Amino acid sequence: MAEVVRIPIIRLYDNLIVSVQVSLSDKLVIQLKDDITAAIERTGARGLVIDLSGIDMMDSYISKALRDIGLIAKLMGVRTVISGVAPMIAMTLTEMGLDLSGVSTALSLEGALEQLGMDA
Amino acid sequence: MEQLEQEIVDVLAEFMTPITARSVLDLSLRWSRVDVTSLGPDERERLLYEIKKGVRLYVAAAGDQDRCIKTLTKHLASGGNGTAPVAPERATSISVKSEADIVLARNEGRATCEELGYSMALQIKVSTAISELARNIVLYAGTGQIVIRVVQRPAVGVEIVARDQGPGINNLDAVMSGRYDSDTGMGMGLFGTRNLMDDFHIESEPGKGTEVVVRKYLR
Repeated sequence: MAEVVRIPIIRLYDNLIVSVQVSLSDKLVIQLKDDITAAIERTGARGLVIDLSGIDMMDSYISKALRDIGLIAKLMGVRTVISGVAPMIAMTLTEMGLDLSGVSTALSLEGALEQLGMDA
Repeated sequence: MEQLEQEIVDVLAEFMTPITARSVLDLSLRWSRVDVTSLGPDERERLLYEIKKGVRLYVAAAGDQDRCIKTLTKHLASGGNGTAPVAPERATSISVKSEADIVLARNEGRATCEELGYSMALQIKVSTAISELARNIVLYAGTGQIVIRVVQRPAVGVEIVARDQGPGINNLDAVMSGRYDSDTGMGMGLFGTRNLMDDFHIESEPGKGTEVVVRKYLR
């Protein structure tokens, strides 16, 4: 099962938007980390939204990777907002004792963009 | 409650409210004068006859009635004294060697949960636990095995066995405390898995390998 999928990163004004709509594998997460870092450097974006409304589960590895992405982005002067974590997944994460502290969160993609100062 | 009684109620409850299901069984037991702990062929027949009456009374659609009765007949035929398992004892073994197998294992776990009628919340918990256990195998042992099977006792549930012949865990207490910080994850994999599951057993011997057995029950 070769994985050639790549999560697209969309630029919207000063922000980068990543919408994860596939089951996240480790490889995909690492690829995403690299791609986002490169995109930030290339575009000079100020904000980053990672929308997770399409994922079916999140374990400690994925949580850690997302937290790392947030941290890397922060070091590059970019604010990260994670949006769309489904209630069941949020509950599972807290039960496991995991958190995404250090990364801002929003209920929806719209909420995330608002946080980044983009008004509709 | 007897295992078989619970199974009958569970089947009925798919077609009516749990309270109705319970009283259908109670009345059927009373009318048929059957003791569920000692079911012979005659008793089985009598009990089924009474339950059928209840099903026809409370289940509206004829198709549903048939389905319900068919399932019950199967349960009763295999479940005398509760000795034989009713839901098929199925076990899937996945050899875990690479990262793709982690996804494979958790999807398999999810499919098993779905088959058992687990809620979305339970499905996510089980697949998350499998993901953690499978990842530990890939990261620390290289290869190993994940077995997902349906158990009947003490309650219907999913059991996951993660086995490897890797280096073992020599600081198990620290790892299980939830304050351990690994390089790869948050050091929360096993700790988190224990919190998600109903049962959690781990055996690990440095140099020999690790075996983790976890269970999540349907209710």
